[in-house]
Amino acid sequence: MPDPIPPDSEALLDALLPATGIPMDPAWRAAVIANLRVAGPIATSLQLFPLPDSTEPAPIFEPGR
Amino acid sequence: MSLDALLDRDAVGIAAAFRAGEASAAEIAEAAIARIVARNPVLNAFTDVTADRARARAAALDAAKAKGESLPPLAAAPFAVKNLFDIAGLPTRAGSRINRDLPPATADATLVTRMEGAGALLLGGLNMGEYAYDFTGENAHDGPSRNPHDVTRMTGGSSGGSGGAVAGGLATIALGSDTNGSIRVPSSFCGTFGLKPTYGRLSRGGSFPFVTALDHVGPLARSVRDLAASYDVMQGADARDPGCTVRAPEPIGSGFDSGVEGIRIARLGGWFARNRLAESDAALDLACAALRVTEEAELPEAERARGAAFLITMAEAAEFHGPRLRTHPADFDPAVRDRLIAGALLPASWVQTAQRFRRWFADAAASLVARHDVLIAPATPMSAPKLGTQTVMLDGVELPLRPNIGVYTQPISFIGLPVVAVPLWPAGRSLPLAVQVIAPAWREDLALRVARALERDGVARAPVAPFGA
Repeated sequence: MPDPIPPDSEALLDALLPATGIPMDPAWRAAVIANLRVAGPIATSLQLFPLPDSTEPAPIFEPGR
Repeated sequence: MSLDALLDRDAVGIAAAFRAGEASAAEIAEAAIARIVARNPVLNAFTDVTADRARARAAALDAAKAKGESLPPLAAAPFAVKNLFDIAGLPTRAGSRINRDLPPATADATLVTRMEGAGALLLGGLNMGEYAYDFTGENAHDGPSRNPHDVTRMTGGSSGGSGGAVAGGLATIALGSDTNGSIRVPSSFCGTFGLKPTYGRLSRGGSFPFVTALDHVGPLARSVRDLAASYDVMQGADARDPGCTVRAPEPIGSGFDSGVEGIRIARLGGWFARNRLAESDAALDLACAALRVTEEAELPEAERARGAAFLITMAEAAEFHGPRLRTHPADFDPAVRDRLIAGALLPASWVQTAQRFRRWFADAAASLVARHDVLIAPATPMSAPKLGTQTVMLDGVELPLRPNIGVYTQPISFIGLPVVAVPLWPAGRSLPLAVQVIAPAWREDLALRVARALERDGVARAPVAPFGA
């Protein structure tokens, strides 16, 4: 299986921002991309970690509460 | 002793003075209000002062005492809360400009009710980083909270006013919230004790959320007995918080003072031994020498854990603030807004992977705390930086300051373990720095016992800063 590729932050922004409905001033773009550039490698690092299939996500929903 | 000097005592001490007749509750309330009037223009800890409410509660306590009624444990002790806790009659601003247009809260947060039920006098709401997305204590709308030990320095955040109010002697106890370190960081920078309990232990009912998967609430104080006393009166299930435990309360009582014999303590190495300045080393060495800690333990994958907490925080906070981002994007603190917009763009699978990693990491930590009852780690890599600082040199690399303040706190809150932040004063330095005393889930008692041992030995202390420092 190929390793995950760190995402292109600019492409991510351009592709997904319209779906959020957030009216972003172009002046904010560089700072938003800078934040995505921090998040991307973190996500890649987590995707490279060999989590067992049996590992469930942490949040628990308790019916009735 | 003057009434003003009485305010330098801890909450339990002030309650004892009130019971002994050294001062009336009304006198204590007036002295506390006068101190806020004198000091808050410099410290900027309070954003709202509930003077009339404190006076009314004090009058009720004086009347109860005059009738010979039994008095609650924190009677007449002044306290305050981070302004994300609901205070009836005030909009819950949560450090933001946007929220001040909300209607006033119609009821108090659960923990405000419980503290007042224990006799404490609510003095008001405290400054904080916008929507708790902050480690500095700076606020774009209200101005920075200032560190009482050096007012040119940060309090740490996001519970910045909480740290400033306690270290500055404006309140004995301040409630804060901690999602990634927001009780422990201001405790470290301001030199206070702080308790981030087990996730779910104390109710968040009536507090403004940040990241519900990670949000905790707890007290900052100047003594371990105040942490224990306030923790005891705030425990208990609460239908207002779906994350709050239904376990029966486990009061500490005087058990925090029962010593550390039999508690297996290790210091955390690995991630927690990297990226820190000499002052952080010195604080850790002080604590470990006093506790005669010789063992070192490693919490595996702590760096990934920090990263996973970072992603969950970005994504959950972005979803929560989505409506505000769509309607008022220009009214946010720009630094918060830019992170939130980025968070709104994270693929869902990234966040789900982070949540699955959280389970793996929690299991790894459980194995470790089965071998060691308590783990000691630094709370912050550095003592309080100057206000406005943007970068820090760590291990020879210049890094952005803001995210790196929380490198040691984030992996621990990520898995909800209880922590007491214990303030230390390395020799030759004028500023404090805390260590984290980390215990297994639901064992706040162990962390409090170790913290108390350090306090009793005189190694840890949380003095009121001389005003004008």
